[in-house]
Amino acid sequence: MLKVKGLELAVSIDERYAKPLRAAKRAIRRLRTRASRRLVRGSNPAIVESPGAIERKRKIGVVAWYHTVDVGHGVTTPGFFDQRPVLHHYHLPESLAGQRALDVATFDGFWAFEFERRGAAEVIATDVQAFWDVDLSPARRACMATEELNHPVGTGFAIAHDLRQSRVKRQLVNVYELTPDRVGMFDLVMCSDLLLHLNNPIRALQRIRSVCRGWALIVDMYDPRLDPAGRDLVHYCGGVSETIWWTFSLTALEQMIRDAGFRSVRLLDRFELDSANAERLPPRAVFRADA
Amino acid sequence: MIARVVRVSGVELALRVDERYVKPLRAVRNALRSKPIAPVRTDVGENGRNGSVASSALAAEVAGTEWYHTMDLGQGVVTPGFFDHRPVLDRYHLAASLAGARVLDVATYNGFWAFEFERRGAAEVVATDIERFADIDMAPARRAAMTDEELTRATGTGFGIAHRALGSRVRREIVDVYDLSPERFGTFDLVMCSDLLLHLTNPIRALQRVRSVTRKSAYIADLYDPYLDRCGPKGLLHYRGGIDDYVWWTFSLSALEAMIVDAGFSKVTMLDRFELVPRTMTSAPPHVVFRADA
Repeated sequence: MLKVKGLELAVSIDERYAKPLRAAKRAIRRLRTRASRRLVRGSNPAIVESPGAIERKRKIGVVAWYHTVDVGHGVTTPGFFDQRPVLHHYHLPESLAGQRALDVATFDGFWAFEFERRGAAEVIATDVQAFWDVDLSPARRACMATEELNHPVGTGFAIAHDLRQSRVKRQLVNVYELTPDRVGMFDLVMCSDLLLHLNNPIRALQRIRSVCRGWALIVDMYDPRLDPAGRDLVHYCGGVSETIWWTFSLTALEQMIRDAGFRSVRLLDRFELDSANAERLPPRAVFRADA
Repeated sequence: MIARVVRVSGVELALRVDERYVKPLRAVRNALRSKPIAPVRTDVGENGRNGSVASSALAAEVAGTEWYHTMDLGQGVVTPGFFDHRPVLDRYHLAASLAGARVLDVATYNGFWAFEFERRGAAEVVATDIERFADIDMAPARRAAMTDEELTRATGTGFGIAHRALGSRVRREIVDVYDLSPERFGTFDLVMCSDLLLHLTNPIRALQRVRSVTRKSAYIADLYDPYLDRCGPKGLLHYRGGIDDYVWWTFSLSALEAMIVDAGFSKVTMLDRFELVPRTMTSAPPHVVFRADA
């Protein structure tokens, strides 16, 4: 039984989820306060900051950040994930000149801006509109206030886009609705840390394949414990904690990508990336899938 | 694991099939490819009724299509279904009488469950299904390997024959499980979801939709793999890729139960587990039946 904002909800939560749910709630609260706290901690009064830096810090201070994004003047957003130290694990080409690139579920836009920085001719970044559109479990949805559900996804994107004077185009398209008619075809498609948050990673991969004329980078967490079983195992996590529905074995993830219709699938790299609150997370795998 | 390379319409598939499934899978494929088998005649030798005009017309009609469910249509005609649920019917623990109940059979196919609910006196039975095979959750390679004729084949031929033969009042509606909603057909006292989830890319969403139209109880029956709950953490699924017989997953008991709970049911009870071996096969993974109360 949960009591939220004076409302008693007859949602029975499985024992197994009570703890992760509470942890998720705490994590969200932490995330909300983190941005402002880190800004204060990060600013060093001994260094005289340029007006540009001060203005940037003020602008990025109003939202919680998922991505650490360089917004110029030595200022970076205090993201939950900082991909910069592990960027080489993604094995991106130095130059993407002439390429049309798609960043699926861009959130704060780290990958979209990175593709632009590498000279892509055109970068499209897609996302859902609000948390309402995320694949939430009914229990999770019931716990969320209307304002949380209506909260736009990736509020940081517009701020970073503005500060970087970016030409990346952001489009509101759910991954399940990607079609060549809607967004065209792409030389490079990025799908980073998305599949674990989806009810239907199979369909998502099929839609990604449908708009890929070159290659796709599919990055996700995997569970090394699952691979020795010798079959394509997937661990169902229930979508309650951090909206994580699955962790994949390497072989299952690879097979899912293949089954989506990619001609060749290669494991490029594996690495660990901890979150900003030093939370130890499962390792990540980077697959390259050629259309 | 057996590694196989399958080439379909110029697409090369590296398909890995678990050793244990190779034989049953082949049997299923062969069964599906084989010509429809003549319907079983239970009236042979019965005095005088043998070979009546009506029954031979029905027998001919039944022989003209493929059957998934084994059903007694009367007049001495039993459909030669791939599955025969009749010997294991008690394992589903259905109420003997469904008088007054509004019942939904999701993905009814030949309609065995819908007709069974009607037989048990349900006030109203709605049976839903997709229209054509093309509407199945198919892997792109599987879809590419199918002819237009196969893709546009109607799913309801057998249902129609049985419906007429039984003089049934069951209402068949074309609606994908993912599109079930109370707005469309209302809510139901009993919802049956039998051997469907393994064929879906999104069993989670399907269960959420099933929950949305359940006002009392849903029966969720599916195959499971007992090995999965012994080889690692709880909640494992075996991803199967949807190529062979549109099977995307085999579930562990713990994963299936958690999925049903997470769909928003207040109470989930495992009613039974049993073997249900399809005709033409010698073994199959076991079945489990859950009752999920709204």
